[in-house]
Amino acid sequence: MEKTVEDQKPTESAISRVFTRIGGVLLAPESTYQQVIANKISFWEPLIIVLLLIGVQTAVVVSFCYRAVTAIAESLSSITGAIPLGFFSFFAVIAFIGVILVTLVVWTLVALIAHIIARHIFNGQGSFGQLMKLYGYSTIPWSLQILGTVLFGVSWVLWPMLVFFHIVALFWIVTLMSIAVRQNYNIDAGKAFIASFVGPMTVWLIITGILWAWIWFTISSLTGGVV
Amino acid sequence: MTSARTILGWVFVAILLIGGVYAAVSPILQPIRFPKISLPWIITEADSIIDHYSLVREINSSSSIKHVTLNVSVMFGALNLLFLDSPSLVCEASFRRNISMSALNTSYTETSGEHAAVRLHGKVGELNLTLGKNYQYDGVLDVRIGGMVVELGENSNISRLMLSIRYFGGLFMTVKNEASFEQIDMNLNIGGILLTVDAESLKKDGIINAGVNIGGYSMSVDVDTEKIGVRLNSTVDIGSLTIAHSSFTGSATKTQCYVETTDYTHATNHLNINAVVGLGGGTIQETQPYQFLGRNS
Repeated sequence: MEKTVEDQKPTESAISRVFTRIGGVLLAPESTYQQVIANKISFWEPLIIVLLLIGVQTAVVVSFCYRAVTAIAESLSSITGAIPLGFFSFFAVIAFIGVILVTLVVWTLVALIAHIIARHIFNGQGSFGQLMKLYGYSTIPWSLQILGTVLFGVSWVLWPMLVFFHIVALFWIVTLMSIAVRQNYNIDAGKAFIASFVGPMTVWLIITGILWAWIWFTISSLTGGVV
Repeated sequence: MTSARTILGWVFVAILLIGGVYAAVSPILQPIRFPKISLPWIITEADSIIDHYSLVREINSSSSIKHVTLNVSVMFGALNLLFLDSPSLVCEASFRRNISMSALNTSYTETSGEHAAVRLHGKVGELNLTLGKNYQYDGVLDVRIGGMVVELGENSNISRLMLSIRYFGGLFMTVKNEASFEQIDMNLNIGGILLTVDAESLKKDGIINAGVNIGGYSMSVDVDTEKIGVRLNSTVDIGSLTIAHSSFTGSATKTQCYVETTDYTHATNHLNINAVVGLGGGTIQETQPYQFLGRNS
């Protein structure tokens, strides 16, 4: 991976510069992140990238669900009669809104946890807004997941590709987030990894643990302590 | 390297475009197909057939018959019982089934001068049983899994009839004006009983015994309390009872009740209902809050 900050040619069009940055995140994330910080790139760019990624991914998944539900409805039509599928457009709208909201919330929370750890525990220097931007760019490998889902949709036998792309995308995103934290706060790689991955995962595990404990106690109290 | 980055940027956009286009066109160009599922016990218009059976006085039943013992069973499906204002009708049955399932098995015997026995056995389907007004009926109506709808009106004349859902299902019975029955026993293993008493008067005193192992009953009573005195004696082993009827007075706890309509003692006729529930509950109210599936009234 390149480690130098490359000056972008002034002759490049704006759209070309965006594509270069996107490719740069994948090929040379450190220099690209430094460039994003140095050039004070607008927050709109990573936001649009994230919205496009989750929008397309949701569209592919909803489309797949629609195909599956239509097939099931047709398969059962001799028993149930024609099942109206008008509700599906409502489901699609809810899915889009829900996924966008959840993504924005998760994006903010993960960045916030990393910011708190990097800034206040490891005494790094950097702003939360800048980290949000870099985290937005860090989601670019998620396009592999979209590719995997499309391949799976084309033929079910390609499911290993989906799994492979999913794993690669996740590892890549985690790596990019660590690099983003390191570049943004100027801390070492180990601390950046703790701030970007271990911290949010710990919070996630605590929340999940509390939730399961609550479910457990609720069921236990309902069954009079049998469970 | 900058050009490689730009190319990779284009690849990223291309993946998004492919994803978007694929999401839009795949439901049309690449629909998923599953094999059509058809269950023999589900009857559709295309593969349904109806077996008819009827017994009419002086056509295929002797005129001396006065009492008819019914032994009717359906293994899986529905059984509907209705009384018609038809003096010569002994019994009429129509059995709607899937063409691949076995037909209604019937037999009729005249056991003595005034007694006859009708046996109807269907495996899977919907049996509509219609009885006439000039005969007194007793016997058993049995469904293993499914539902039973019974309507007792002015043409009904029952001495003792057992309605049974052996495994699970629902039982819906309506007692209407001028109904005549001595005893109805309703047994249900798992499911619910809906009993609607909507009558100004009855021809004679009657008893309804209802037993549910798991599930419950919902009873609605709308009667002229001077003409019909209704008494409910009910217990629930695990669960609760709800008495939500202003015309009923008596003692009621969460699991036990003994209530009757005002003027029960002086009412012209009496309807005594004994209901036992194992696990579940029971309610009594003025109007039925639930509907039997596929039934509008």
